[in-house]
Amino acid sequence: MAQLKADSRGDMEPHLLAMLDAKHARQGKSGYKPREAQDVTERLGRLLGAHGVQGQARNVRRMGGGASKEQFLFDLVDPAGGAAQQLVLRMDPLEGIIETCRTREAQLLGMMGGTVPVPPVAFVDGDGRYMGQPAMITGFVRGVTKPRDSQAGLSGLGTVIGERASAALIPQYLDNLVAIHGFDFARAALSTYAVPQAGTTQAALWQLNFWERVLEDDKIDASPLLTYTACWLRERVPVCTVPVTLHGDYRLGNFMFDEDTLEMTAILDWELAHIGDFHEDITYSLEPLFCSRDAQGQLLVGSMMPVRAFLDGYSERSGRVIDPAVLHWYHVLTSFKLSVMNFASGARAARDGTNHQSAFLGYLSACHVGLSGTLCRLLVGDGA
Amino acid sequence: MTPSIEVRLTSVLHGLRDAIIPAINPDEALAVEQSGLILAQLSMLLLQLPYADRYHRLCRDDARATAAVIVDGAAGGLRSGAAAEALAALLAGADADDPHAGYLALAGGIAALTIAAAEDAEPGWRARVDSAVLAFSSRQNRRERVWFKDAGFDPDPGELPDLATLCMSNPRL
Repeated sequence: MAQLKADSRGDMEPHLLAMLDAKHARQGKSGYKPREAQDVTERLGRLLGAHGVQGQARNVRRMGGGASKEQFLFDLVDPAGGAAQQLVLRMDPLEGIIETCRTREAQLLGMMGGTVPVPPVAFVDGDGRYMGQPAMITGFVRGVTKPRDSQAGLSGLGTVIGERASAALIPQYLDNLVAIHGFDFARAALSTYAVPQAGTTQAALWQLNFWERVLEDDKIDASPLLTYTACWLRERVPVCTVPVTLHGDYRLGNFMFDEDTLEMTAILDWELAHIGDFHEDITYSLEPLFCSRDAQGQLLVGSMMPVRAFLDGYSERSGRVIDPAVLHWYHVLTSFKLSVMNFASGARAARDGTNHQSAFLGYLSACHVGLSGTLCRLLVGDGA
Repeated sequence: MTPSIEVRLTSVLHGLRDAIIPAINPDEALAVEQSGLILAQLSMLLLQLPYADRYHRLCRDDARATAAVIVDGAAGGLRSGAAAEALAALLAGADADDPHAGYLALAGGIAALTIAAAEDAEPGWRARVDSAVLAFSSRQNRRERVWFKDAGFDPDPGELPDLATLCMSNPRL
């Protein structure tokens, strides 16, 4: 297969290009106010009515956690029988650490149910005509994202799982990742997704072009390191032999499990999902920000297993051969994009007040220095 | 000036911690979380404030030294030549009274030259630019990790000095 030209910076998924263009066009607006339960309740009434649902939204309350979306839990109550169904509303603020699409997330989520445990999609308001901002509503799934007695920082960072839970969760963590990568996207109705050409560098270039565009649009200060990294990545884009379905944010904090049975009940946060190189999802789990360390200082993937065990476990289960050079490239890309999210997008949203939790984003933005530290370690001695 | 910035910030912290936060309805999860983060952010600012000028000077001085190294011996095409000239002009006009603004301007110039050098610099000069930018980025990253150490995100805070020690150091170390 022919190599694609490395300077085609506008080459990315058409749906995502349009999404970034729309975001760029609305930048400069400010004064976003956190949504209030009363307003959300009224809007839910209009959305449910438009879908011909007889039930009413009641007991709307804000959910904790998450760094990018406004999230509410509510009861859909049948006025006749009084039965209630718990649902989760996930709604976009004006801006946040990532720009993603609810329609796109719902499309894949709706298809993954038979592959891995996911929350069922109930309603989508893709253009925000009812909710005021794009929104997705899913069924509520019982479970926890970390043991109740564990300590954790913002957005689930710094969680420690413990030995008993790790022993039960490790096989599921690996099996679910392999299952996601094995999902046959070609047979699924995924109109908002595009598939990079197999045997070319397009899978890698789409990702680099997307995140470099985000950096360009969102940065409030220049970063020689991120600029250098983008150049480094562009000159070394790897070929993807067989594109697969990627979760895009596969890590501790983005799955739920039953604390009694230790069975995973849902894989969450599919907003960064796309079709690409399997190495990309693997390196996401390797980012030290999402890991913990054992008593010897050894990095634990998902706070559960050493890096070698994770890589070997994935290879054994999937039959895929991990290419160290490609893994390294995607590791650099992962640190780059996570840095961009916080150094650029998060800091801008915090400054401009375009998010419901500006104080949170302003604080979280500081985590870019640890991510940039990973970048420096990966790049130093790697052929400047 | 009395009250000083430190005294004013401290008084805000007292009010927030002792009067405002206890009055927030615990069911208001967003307000509870935001107020806790505001408290943490203000506390961190209070610790950083005495070192801000010295810290920004360290960053600016290192950026200036790096810029001087990479504009020297510029050789290549139009884009990298223009970026080197622009960075040299920034060096000549770096604002001595506002080290943070000076740092940001130089960082922008270094970033612009990095991109331009990737496009049309002569290979030998390009290698020098890349090497210097990466070395500078590593030093700058270490400074930023120290600056934000109290935020609690650093994967290895034990290897970092405290802010006072950093601010007494040589910027090139």
